[in-house]
Amino acid sequence: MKEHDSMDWTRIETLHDAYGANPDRWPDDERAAALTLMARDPERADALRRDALALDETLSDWVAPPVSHEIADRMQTSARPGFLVTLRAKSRSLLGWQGPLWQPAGAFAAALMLGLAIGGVGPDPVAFLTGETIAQTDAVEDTTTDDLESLILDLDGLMEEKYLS
Amino acid sequence: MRVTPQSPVPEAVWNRMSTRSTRSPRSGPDADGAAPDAVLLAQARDGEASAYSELLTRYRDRIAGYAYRLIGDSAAAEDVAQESFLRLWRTMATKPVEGNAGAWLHRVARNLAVDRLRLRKRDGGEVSETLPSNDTTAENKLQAKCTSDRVRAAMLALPERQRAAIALVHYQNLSGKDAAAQLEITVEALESLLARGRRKLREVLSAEKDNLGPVAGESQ
Repeated sequence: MKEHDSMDWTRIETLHDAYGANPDRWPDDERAAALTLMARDPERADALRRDALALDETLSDWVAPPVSHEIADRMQTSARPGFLVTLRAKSRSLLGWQGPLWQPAGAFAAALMLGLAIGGVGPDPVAFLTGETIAQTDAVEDTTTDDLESLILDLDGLMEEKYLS
Repeated sequence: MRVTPQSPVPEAVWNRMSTRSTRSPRSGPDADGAAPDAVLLAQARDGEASAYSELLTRYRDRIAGYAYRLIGDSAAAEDVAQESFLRLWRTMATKPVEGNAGAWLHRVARNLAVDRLRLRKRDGGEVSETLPSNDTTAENKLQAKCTSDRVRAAMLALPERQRAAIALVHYQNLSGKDAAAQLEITVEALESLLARGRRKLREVLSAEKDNLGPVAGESQ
């Protein structure tokens, strides 16, 4: 905030040049100091005011036309919640969700993507079962062959021991 | 009422100007109980239709007026105002609007107005305008139209930034601080724009009609 002592007539002229004669438009923190200083020299202050006020008044003669009824009606019609806002409001009321809409929507989307990813990238259940069946069959066949071979070898051994001895 | 440099400042005029509120419209709680912008924006985002109407009522004329000061064409100004609000509604639907709605709308309206001015300059278009007036006599209408047209022409001859500064402070009644924030410049830079703009206006308007004071600085 500017101190009273920092206010001078140069600054007061600048205030009038920039903001005009109306003290309400001057910066809040300078208004009181400026008015106090101006009160000390009313004649000089009045000259500044008159000049600035003449321009202020002339500028105020330029009146902006009111918005036409047609445009006003059109703007009023468009001033309502759009689809996204309505959807969000309804979903919040239905789900009782108070946070941002993207959070439940994001969770749903993530779950959906995860499901699609597992379904698309993972092994085919039919192929998996078939492979397992084949593996089990192979295992049984391997076991049978091994047992038969060892049995033949055992018989060979017994025959050799009996006839060669 | 016309005030000439030779006449003393009428007391009634001075009092009226001194007591007139020049604060920007509600961005916070008001003494009259009106909801601040932030509350209305939140309600609108929650789908409350009444909040939309309230925001529109609060800012429609101000934004249209601001656009008019920048463009000088009421039809184009209405288009700018309409587009500004449409953008506000659309933006609100996807993300929160930062700051108060008035500042946001003023910023968007100015951008749209500048675009239109650029297009108009490129196309070499001219603006024709009729002044609506409540005056009943033909003489008053003519007088008001003459003054208004002169001011309008002088304003439109200013550089865009000087015009925007004067529009914000003089016509939109924003404080220097708010107007500077709106233009994204310092208060000192704003004061420079205002002073140069007003000096130029005074020169132009004084040259046309000798009912204004001397150019700033000449009286000293």
